[in-house]
Amino acid sequence: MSRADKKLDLSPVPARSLMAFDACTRCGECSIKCPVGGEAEEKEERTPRGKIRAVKRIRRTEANPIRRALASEEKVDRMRRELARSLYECTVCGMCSEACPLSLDTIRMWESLREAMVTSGLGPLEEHAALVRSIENYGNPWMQPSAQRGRWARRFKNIADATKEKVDVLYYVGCTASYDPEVVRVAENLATILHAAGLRVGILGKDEACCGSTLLRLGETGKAKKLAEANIAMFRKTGAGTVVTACAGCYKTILQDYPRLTGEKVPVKHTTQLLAELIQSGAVPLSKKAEGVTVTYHDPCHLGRHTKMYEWPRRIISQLPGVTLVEMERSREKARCCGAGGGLKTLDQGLAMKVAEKRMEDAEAIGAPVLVTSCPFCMQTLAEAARGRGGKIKVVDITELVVQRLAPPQSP
Amino acid sequence: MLLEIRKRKMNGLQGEREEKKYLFDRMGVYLCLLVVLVLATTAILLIPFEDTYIGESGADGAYRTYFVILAIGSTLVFVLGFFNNAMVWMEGKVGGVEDGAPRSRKLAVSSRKLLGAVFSRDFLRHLRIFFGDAILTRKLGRISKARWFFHALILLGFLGTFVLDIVTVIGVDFLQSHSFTDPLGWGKLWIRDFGFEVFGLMLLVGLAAASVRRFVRRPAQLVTGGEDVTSILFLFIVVLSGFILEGVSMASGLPGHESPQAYSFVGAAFAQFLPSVSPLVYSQIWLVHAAISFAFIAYIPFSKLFHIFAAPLAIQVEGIIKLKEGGE
Repeated sequence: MSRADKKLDLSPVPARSLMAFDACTRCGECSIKCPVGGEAEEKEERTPRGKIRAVKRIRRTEANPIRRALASEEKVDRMRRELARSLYECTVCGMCSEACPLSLDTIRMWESLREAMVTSGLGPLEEHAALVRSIENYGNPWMQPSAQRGRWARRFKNIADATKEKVDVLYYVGCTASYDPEVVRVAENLATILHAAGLRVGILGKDEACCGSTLLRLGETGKAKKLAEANIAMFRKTGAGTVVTACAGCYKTILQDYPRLTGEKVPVKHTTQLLAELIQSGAVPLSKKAEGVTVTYHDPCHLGRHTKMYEWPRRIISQLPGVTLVEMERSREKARCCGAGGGLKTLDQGLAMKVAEKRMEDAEAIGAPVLVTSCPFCMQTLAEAARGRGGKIKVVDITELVVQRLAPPQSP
Repeated sequence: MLLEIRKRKMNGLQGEREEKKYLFDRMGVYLCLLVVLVLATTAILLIPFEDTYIGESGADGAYRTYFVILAIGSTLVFVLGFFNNAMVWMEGKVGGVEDGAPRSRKLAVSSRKLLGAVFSRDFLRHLRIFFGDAILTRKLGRISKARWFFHALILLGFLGTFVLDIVTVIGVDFLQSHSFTDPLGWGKLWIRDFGFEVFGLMLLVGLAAASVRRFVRRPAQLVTGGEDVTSILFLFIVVLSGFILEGVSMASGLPGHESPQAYSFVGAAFAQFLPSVSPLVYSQIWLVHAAISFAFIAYIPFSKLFHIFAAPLAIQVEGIIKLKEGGE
């Protein structure tokens, strides 16, 4: 490719995001609140403002013949690669959009810019290659065989094989809860609660493929679209009226990205909504004598800022006997990110843990011994950070809290 | 075989239609640009400039020619710069337009969509978004009351002087209203004197506060680059040169500038420190102020100050998307 042809391809970026680059006043509200560029480590080039400036600088250099003649090819190439790195050193948590006085949609901005990195041959980064290959070859990012995907469900009688049996509710388990031994408890807990509520749901088992969230966050939109189409076809085949998922990333993807990619809407609920409704209706038998515990709730970015699901998890917690919720100073829209999203954990585990530690500091400051969340990925990362800090705080998924407070099964 | 020929023909026709559509959009966009450029130039040329500012000082007619040339030049640069920025936006995706479509088509479609969305049943909602979020910058107020206040001073000062400039041109040059030209006329006292003083002072105070924050207090969130310094300095120079011009005219007691000090209170304060000059020197200072102001207008699309236009537009577009849910 000649030098003139080598340009940032901005065609995947929505025009409104490019307009937002000019709307940015560089006030820096996003920069100080950016979990990776402002809080964990102070690196301007990683902050939203830094990235916007970099894109504009590169664009100006490419478009202006004088600037291009003055800048060496290596320099421009280095600028592009540094931009790509900065774009991937981001959890796409959406804190910048929340902090922005203009409320610019930065989530769409970063995701589409990553897509632009892919079409420009600059992304995803080397560190992400194995992840992408695994999703392509195994249908999950953990290089696990699909035959093992539904293994956890074997002991649950209320979990049906939706490919063979007609079900009203399809439980889309997601990759992490299907394979990660630490997180598989989320799926088991949900099955236990639904059993107690007398609800039978179906799963796709070995036919369930990754939702495509990881690919989308990495900018691999084309590959994610194929997964989305295949998953929608599977959902349709089961005839289920509702898809339920316990993973915040899967939920966001199915709710927001599938319609954007395929033009089709899937009726999807996050488990927090389903459980809150079941508990509220009295379908879930809760123990009357439960040990008192104070908990704090961590809003996962995909469930909070991305999809605005702040109330359902709090409704569950408020209805559980003996559970007192104390809010961290930064909760709901202002909740700090756990550091795991957007492919950052794969790219730079150390940086992701620094972000997670900040969140654990928030939890420690409020003095709650238990931190509850509703995203398997947040749970995994925050639990790791908690262990690193001496395990003073126990990190659990919200389903765990419900299971602990289920009424003991009545003898016949 | 026949089917194949028919299919090819259909494809050809479709391609032809697409071509026509693209050509139509491209022509439409560039025609609109041309119309804007011609209209702006004509409007400037049509202003009689009989009495504007220096007319009363008896300055050489050549100054007015320089003024008109500068006005046309800066307006053309501004419009072309704005257009260039809009074309950069159009490198991206526009909902309802196929990938790879020419930028002019995207601009035509998105302009139609934007206007269609604003002038719809939701007009009042969009108006609320425009005034609440773009003009009053409510969210900034929630973040910091002080910053909101000083930003509002700059924004309203800027908008106010712009509006008063238009009103003055209409009143003085087109209508040649005595109210605007009579030293004790209502338009002269309240608009040309007091109005400009208030909005100019708002700008000055807002800029001073922004400068103290950026250069003295230097909060961690601010990163100051050349563009930031240039933008603030440029605005400062425009406003200060305006007050200096007024101060000089008052100190010199030039005809047409004998305003009561109560109405031109900032100019009067500047006059205390400024020398008395001849009408010719005054006209030269006036031209310098005009040149700085026009250079500033031309600079806007190429600087961070372009947010003056891009931010309200972006807020409006985000508002439309949120209302519609899920488009690009």
